[in-house]
Amino acid sequence: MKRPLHPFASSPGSILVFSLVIVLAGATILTGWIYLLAARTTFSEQATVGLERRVALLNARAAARQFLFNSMNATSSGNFTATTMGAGFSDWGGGFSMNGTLSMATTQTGNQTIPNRFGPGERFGFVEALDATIYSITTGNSGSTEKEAVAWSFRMRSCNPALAGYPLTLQAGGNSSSVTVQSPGASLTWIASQFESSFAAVPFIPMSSGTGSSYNGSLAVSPSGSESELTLNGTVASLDLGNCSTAYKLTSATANLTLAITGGSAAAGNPVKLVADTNTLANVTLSGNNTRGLVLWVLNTNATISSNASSTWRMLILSQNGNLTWNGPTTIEGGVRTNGNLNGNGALTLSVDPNSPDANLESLADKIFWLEDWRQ
Amino acid sequence: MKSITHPPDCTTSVPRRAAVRCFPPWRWPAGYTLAEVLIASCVLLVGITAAAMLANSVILQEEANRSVAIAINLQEQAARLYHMGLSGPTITNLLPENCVSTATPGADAYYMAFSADSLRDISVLTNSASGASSNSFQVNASTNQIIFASGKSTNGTMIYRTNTILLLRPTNL
Repeated sequence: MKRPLHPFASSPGSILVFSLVIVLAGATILTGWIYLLAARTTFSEQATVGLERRVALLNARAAARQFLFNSMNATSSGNFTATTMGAGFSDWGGGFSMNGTLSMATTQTGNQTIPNRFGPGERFGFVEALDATIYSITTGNSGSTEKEAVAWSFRMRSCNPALAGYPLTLQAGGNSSSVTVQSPGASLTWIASQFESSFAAVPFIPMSSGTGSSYNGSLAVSPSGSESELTLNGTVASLDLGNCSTAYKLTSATANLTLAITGGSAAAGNPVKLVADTNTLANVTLSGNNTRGLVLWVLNTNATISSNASSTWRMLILSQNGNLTWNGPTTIEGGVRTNGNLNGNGALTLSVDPNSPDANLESLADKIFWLEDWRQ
Repeated sequence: MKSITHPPDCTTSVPRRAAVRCFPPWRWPAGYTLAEVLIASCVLLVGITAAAMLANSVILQEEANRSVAIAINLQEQAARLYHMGLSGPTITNLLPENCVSTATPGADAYYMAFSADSLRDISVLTNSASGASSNSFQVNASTNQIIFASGKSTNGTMIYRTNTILLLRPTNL
């Protein structure tokens, strides 16, 4: 009697091939796994080196910013054509050296349209006071000779007061102009000439635009040109802001203008813009309170602003190329910006517009200038 | 279908010149000898032992990798916050991991400390229209140190690693 054949016993070669395939696949997977582990271990070992290199780049950037800040002091000594930094970095655990150029501008070099809550935005000038390019920042960790070079550009711009949200901005220093500024919890007498001279200590020319010596630029703001023409009868006239639409440009030879809200139902959140560029406007009287925001531009003329002691006006007034005088106590929720003398014959109480979306936010940006940098 | 062939048994008439051994049916090589099984078992045992030891090492290495990755990332974020102008205590409060002030933080905490800002001189060579000039400026410098547990030794004690970096930032942030 024959014993039955075991099915595998008849194919030993197939079993061997099958086993080899299994072993090959297993060995491949095991090898890949070990390589992966080795890579992770390498990462663990090199992580601190990588960190050193990245921090060296951050340090280089910080030093470059400091260098540019310091270079602001040297504006009167001429432009820089090349700057080399490099000595003394060996102990930084990630040193660097830099090469680059600096060029200084003291005139307005650009414009920027900044949207605001009073309209689609106005055009403001700014100064690209410093345009610096760092050709290369060479970094490397202290334990290696490997280096890498990256290029970084810096541009320092003056900051327009419109961005900073100051209630009061004196754009140019007057001879003896002063104003009493009162705000909740604080009050001071602001003498513009001292204000100007105090800027000798800051490392930047705080101009917003224009040419000439420091802090002597024009506002360089301009109406958008989309205002409706407004003609009032006589040299003494009144304007009911409650019946105004949005933007007007005064074309009549009005000398005494009274602004009030006596009627109408315009939305409080829809401010009125009034541009007075007539050379004749001398007195503006704010009557009562306004429940509607007002942007008043007084261009190329000296104007006196009067109001009742108990009235509070939400407004932003811009006095350009003329002097502004407050007659009697005036309370403004908004701001005043002028490049002329600001004379106060009474207290001017200024506060941030409570309806401003940023009224309760502390500004984090530098108020005088800002520095932009980017990699090339 | 392919037919299955099997070795001839001794009951079959096989030419003597044929290069095929014949086995009686009860001697067909369908199994392994005891020696073969023992050897194979030993090899398998060695492999399994090696795999177990490797797995243990892998676990320890993975724990170390994780600790290093977290610590390095933590220190880099601290560096970036420092460059933004924040103070040391503020930074350690902001960071998501448990930052402590003891130099032996344990397994789930990280010791992090900033030294007080000090001024450091940086020399500058400037080439302007009036000629080359040498001067210097100062930046704020601080060292940041992190100590973290990267694993355990064979006797169960923590193994700590330390990393220190130097940070710079402008003085007039």
